[in-house]
Amino acid sequence: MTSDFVNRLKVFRAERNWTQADLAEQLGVSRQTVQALEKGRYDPSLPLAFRIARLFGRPIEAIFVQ
Amino acid sequence: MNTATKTAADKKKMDDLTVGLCALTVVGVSATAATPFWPATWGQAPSIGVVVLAAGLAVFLALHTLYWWRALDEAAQEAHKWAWWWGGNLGFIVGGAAVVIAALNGVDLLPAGLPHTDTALIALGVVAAFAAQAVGYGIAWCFWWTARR
Repeated sequence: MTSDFVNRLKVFRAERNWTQADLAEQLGVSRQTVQALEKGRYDPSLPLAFRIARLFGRPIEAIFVQ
Repeated sequence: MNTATKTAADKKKMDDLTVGLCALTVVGVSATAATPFWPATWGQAPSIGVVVLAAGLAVFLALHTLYWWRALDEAAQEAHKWAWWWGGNLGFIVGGAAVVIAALNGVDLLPAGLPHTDTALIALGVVAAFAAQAVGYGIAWCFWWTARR
C-alpha cells in the first residue's frame, strides 16, 4: 500500500512548525488524508499536488520525488 | 472558489436543507386532506401531506448526498469508491453464496412468524443482498483507512 514516490511533505511541514491538522486545514483536506500522504500510502491527485506545491512555494518535483 | 470555501458552502447547503426538511415535516403532518387524483387501484389515498413529505424526503436525500459527497476530500472519496466496488461486490458474492447454501441445506431464513410466501422470500433476498453489501462496504472502508494510517 506504499506509493511509488517519496515525498518531503513532513519535512516542509516541520520546517514551518505546522501540525498535520494545520496543513490539512490549509489544503482543505482531512488530517487523516495528510497522514496518509506523509506516510506515502496515498498519492494525491494532480490538483492536490499543485495545491501542496503552491502552499509550500516549491515546485511539485521538489516535494514528490520518484 | 478554493477547496475550503467549496466545502464550507456545501456544508451550509446541507444545513439549509435540514431546515427545509423540518419545515416540510410541519406541512406534511398538518396537511391531512386526501391526495387528489390518486388511482383507485392503489387503495385508499394517503393524505397530501404524506405524499409531499415523501417527495420532499427523496429530494432531500438526493441533494444531501450530493453536498455530502462534494464536501469530502479526495482521499475520503477514494475510500468510499474503493469500498463500494470491492466491499460491495465481495460482500454480495459471499453473502449471496451463504444464503444460497443455507437455503439449499433447508435452513429457514425467514424470521419466525412471517408466512412463507413468494413476496416474503423475495423481500428476504433483497434485504440479505443489501445487508451483505453494506457489511462488505463497511469492512472494506475500514480496511482502506487502516492500511493508510
